[in-house]
Amino acid sequence: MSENDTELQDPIEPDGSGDEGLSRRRLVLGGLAAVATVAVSTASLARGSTAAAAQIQSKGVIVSDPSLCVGCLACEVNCSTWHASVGRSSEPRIRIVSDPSVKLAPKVAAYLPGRAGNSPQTCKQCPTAWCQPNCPTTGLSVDASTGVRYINEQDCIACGKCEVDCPVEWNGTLVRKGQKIDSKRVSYDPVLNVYNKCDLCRGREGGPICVERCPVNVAVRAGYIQSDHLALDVKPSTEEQWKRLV
Amino acid sequence: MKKYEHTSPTSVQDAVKLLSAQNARACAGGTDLIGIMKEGLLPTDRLVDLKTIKGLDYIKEDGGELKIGALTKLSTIAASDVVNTKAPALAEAAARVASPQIRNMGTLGGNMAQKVRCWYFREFERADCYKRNGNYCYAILGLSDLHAIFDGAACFAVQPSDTSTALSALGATVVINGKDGERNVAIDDFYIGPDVDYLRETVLAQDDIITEVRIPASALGRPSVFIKAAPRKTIDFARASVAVLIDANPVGSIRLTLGAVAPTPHRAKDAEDFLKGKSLSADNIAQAATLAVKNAKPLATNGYKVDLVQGLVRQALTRLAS
Amino acid sequence: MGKKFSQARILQMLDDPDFQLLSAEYPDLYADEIEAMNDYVRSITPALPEWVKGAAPKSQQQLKFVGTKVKRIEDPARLTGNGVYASDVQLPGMLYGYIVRSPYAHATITAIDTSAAEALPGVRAVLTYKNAPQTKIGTNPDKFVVNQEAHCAGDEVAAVAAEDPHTAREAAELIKITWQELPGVAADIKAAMAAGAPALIAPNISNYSAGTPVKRGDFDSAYGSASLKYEQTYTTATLQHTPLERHCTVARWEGPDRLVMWASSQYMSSVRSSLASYFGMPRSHVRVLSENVGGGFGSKGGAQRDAYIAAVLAQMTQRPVKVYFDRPGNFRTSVHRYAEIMSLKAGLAGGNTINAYRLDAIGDGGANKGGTSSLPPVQRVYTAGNAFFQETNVITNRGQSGPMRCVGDPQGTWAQEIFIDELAEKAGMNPLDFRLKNIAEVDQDHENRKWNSCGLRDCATKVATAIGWSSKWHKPAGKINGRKAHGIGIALHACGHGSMSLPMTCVVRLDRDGSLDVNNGLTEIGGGQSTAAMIIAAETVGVKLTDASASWNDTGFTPDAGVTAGSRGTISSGSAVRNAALDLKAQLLQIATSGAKPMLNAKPEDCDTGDGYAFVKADPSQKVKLADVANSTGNPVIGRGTHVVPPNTSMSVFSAGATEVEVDLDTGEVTILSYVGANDVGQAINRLGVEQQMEGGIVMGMGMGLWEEMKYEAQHNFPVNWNWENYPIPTTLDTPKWANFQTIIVEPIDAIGPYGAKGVGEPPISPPPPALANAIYNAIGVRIYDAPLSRDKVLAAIKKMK
Repeated sequence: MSENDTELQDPIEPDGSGDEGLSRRRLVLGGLAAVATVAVSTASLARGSTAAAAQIQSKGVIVSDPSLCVGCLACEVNCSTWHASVGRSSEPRIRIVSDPSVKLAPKVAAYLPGRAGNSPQTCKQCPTAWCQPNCPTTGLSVDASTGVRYINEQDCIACGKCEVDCPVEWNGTLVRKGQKIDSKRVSYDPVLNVYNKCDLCRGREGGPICVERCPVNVAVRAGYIQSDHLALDVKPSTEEQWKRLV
Repeated sequence: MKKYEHTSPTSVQDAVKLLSAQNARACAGGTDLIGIMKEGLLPTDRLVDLKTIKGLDYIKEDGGELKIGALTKLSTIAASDVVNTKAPALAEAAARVASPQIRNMGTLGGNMAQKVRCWYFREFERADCYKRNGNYCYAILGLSDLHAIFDGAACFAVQPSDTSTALSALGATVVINGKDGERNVAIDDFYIGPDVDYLRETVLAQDDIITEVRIPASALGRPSVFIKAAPRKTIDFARASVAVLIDANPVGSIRLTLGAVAPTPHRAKDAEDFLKGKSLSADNIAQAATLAVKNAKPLATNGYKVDLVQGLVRQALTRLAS
Repeated sequence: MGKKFSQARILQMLDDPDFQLLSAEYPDLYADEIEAMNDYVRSITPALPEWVKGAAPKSQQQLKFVGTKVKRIEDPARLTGNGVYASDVQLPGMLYGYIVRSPYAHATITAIDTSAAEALPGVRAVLTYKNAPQTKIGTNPDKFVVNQEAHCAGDEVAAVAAEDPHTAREAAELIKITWQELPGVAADIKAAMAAGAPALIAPNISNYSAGTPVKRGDFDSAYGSASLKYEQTYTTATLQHTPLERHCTVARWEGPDRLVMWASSQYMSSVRSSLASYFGMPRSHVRVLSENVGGGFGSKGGAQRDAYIAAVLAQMTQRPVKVYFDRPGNFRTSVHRYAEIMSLKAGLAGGNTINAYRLDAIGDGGANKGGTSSLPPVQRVYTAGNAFFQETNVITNRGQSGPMRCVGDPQGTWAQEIFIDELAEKAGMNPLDFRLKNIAEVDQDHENRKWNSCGLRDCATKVATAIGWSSKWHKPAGKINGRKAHGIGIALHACGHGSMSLPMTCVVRLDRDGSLDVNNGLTEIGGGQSTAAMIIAAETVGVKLTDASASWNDTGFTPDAGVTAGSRGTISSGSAVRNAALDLKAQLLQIATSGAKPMLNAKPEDCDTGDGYAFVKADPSQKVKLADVANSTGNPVIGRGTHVVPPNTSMSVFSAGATEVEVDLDTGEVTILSYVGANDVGQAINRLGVEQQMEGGIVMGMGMGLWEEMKYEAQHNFPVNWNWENYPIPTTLDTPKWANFQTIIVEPIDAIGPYGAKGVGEPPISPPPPALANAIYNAIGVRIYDAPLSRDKVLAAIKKMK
């Protein structure tokens, strides 16, 4: 998989004014969230506004190059940790799935020959937000500004319609402890009794934490691993992009 | 070392209370904690010296179980007749911890709850690594000789405790006292991986202390073994270790745990399942050794551990077979 | 070869302790300088009367003390904890220093804020590049006492003095530094030599320089016509000295221009001269005390950074200051044994004779461009008429390289002895026989001069006999019992350490009460040289051992006797002791036989001394107490001695080791079953001391062979294991069982050293690593070329077994 798209300037970098979906819960949580300045719009709490936004395409989507992935699970762990730190479900929204067919790119294999066969997967931010229309609450929303499909966990009543509607499954066995996974990419967290999915770390300064902290990305940015693209990245969510995503 | 308050509780309840303060740390033998404090790796405002609590160093058989007080010194366990007879893997593990001086200071509870030995965490002052509440694991693309070949997740430091490996094979129960009183935790649940919380290696909260370790009746007097591989035979932390408990040969039940190769004591369940109902023949031992590393994913410089673990498993099972 | 020097330059070299240090550690590199200095000093030193020289015992049987086992006089204080080390010194009002070090391999400070550190109660001084004296401390690259630019991780960049060590450390952590990281090279030495490599010191300084090659005959044509050719590359790791007592200095100013230092140093006279020159004071204004030193192994050669920083902080605060590196600091700074990459090439003639021999070595000079050399063993041990040996020194951002026990020779021996083992196999010969066939017993690089003495063959055959080579050696992987493979290996070694080097001086004094004292300027670092000096003096002057002592710990009363390094203490300094003692003896006999009423009615040349008496040789009943002789003058009698090497002398020290190992084929664990080491020491002065030095060196060599290695990580140019946890050194329990650990002293009697002695401190360290490598090969039949023989490499080799 090669990614040569260039127009990638911070597609989901938060801008305070667009963060209309700020939850009541996050207000309660106060300083925990990384969001510094937010304008709270009462209108955003009305169902109508989110439905209207559903047709916006997401500006960003997480894409991965499995041939650069060493299966270290930093994405999963950081996804959990950050979301938990802002009061959301600690279930990882990105999962590394075993795929024995994946070979490592030579530049990565040079360091870590024993760690091929990983495929990071997450919500594809579908051009049509299939998960959203049947949501009976404002639980599954679309950010009016960035187009990100996300879950307001405090509004989620765990009815499971979003998962039913989600057209994409995780494929197979998790790298993490070899567990089988058979849910969709919107999945259920029994601890908090909510559904969750990739929200591109909505509200996080610096964008998605998995992209920031992937150690292969760190090494690529530092020039230690020569690569013209990252192992995990945020790309504009186009129709074409969507088709390429696993 | 920075200034801190030294407290000397005389009861478990006092200790738990004292530990609820900010940055309070429980100290038993201190062989790990004091070094950590010197290096500034764990901010410590109050040190709660558990050694002043009487009655937590004992080895006794009670109700069919073997009960060992958490403050029992490793050297005492290594020399104990009852441990050597009833749970030899634990005696061997205690005897292989560090050096005689450290075994004379170090306690069972402290050994189980020690901090990881990752050289980036301990030595790399620039390391903003997960264990330092940072966001990078230097071992993944760096030097990973010490690190995990199983179950690394973001952080790849391994559980360094020798006794944890043996206790896992023996199926021990850990008795913990905390603010809500006493609770029992199975050894398989006592250690947690970085995927659960990379800042801790065990379920212990700051104001939890281990008070006792229980080895179940089902393990006592059964053949068990612990073998450790380290650079020097005399002092070092394990690069890999193995502990095995079987009921008999042919094998009915078995617990086979690998140490120092994963963030937690690592049960080699594929190997265990394979051996159930089989005799410890040379062929079966060889197959079990291969299965023990079936899911290993080595990093750049810890691939040798895959071979080492197989060798240790072969050695351990061969010893049990004879 | 044969460089000439002006008298001014010679005087300058003689007066320069730093040069003395270098030439002691690298005697081969500075052979011409050493020779010129010896020639000069010999020409100006008054010769002792021939009759005094002739009075020496003619055979070992006539020796009373030399060659016996004498308990070392240095030891009781150390073993009982009563000895005072620099680190034990506590002075009234003393402050404690703590050093801030660079966390980067190569970086510069763009901003530094010390305000929080200065505000911390108890802090008395903060030293940074902003307020440090603008005087260089003379290393390359030129450095100040603390610096803005760091050339290795651990480089000293700031220091704090505070009322207690914990406050000092806390303050050090409060110094806020903004770093700009610069391109550096630490993990891959060769990267510093690659085209486009960053300039590590300055744009106009190349990162590497090739040394002058040593050439014999015509390597190329001999290699071209060889019947058998082989080449292979060997590497060794960066190693640490890790002395038990870390670097430590206590400095106290007594007035504005008098400095007293308690130094953990191998060369107190050098600390004195370096600090005097740093502060622009006469040397007489600096006094250095080094009573006990907890190990040096080469890392405490001259004034190290602890000495400078302590003196500067003491000057800033006008209080005594102790700077005692903590263990991480000790690992991070000072010098290290340099890593080497050595490519050997040989062509055999007639099937089993080395005819063409070539070494191309790359030595890691480290951050401050320490010298490197791995050539001496390769030049000396085997005959090769056509040879080419060259060392290239590379600057990197590893820690500063420098001497460590036997300096570069263990590296050369590691490569050569594995290589020779391989050649033997290719030639179809037993490795011992191949060695004995090709052994050299002359100085091939000086017109094939005979070595003054050469016990190489003896060393080789004696270790082989002692270990049972002929019955125990087998084909590679030829003795596997279950999962245990037995192997046996041997290695030979020769180098210039322990042979003669620079001229040096000594004073021996007989007091009126008959007490004999050696004023030995040699710093005593644990080798037992002071006991050796005492034995030599007592033997020579003819007093009882109980009436003799040695004083060594204070530049205030001892003349410069050079550095305790290069295995030269007993031989070179001992030679000066012997000359001073002969001078004293001559004076005593002159006094006893002269005057109006001579105490002995004979000519001095017809008299001798012994047991505290002077006596007439023909009639020993005519005798007088030496105390009375001294007393008759009303003064102590003082003998002075200078040691120089005779012209056209070729000296070398030889060593051999053989070992048996057991390799566990499951776990790769290597168990040393037995080790036999032999050293040509010329003549043992203190047999006990020789054994101790050999045992210590061998065990240290086992560490180099099996475990020791600084591991540099490429991504961050950073060593990850600077502590004893992950840089394992052998403990007592890691040595072979005592019954299987044997030392053999080979004594061919060298005519030059005192009573024929040669040095022994270093060469025993060299054979163990390759002997172990060869034994592991013999066990499993797979070669390992990179030291150390760590578990990962042994396991990988086992996987390759057929």
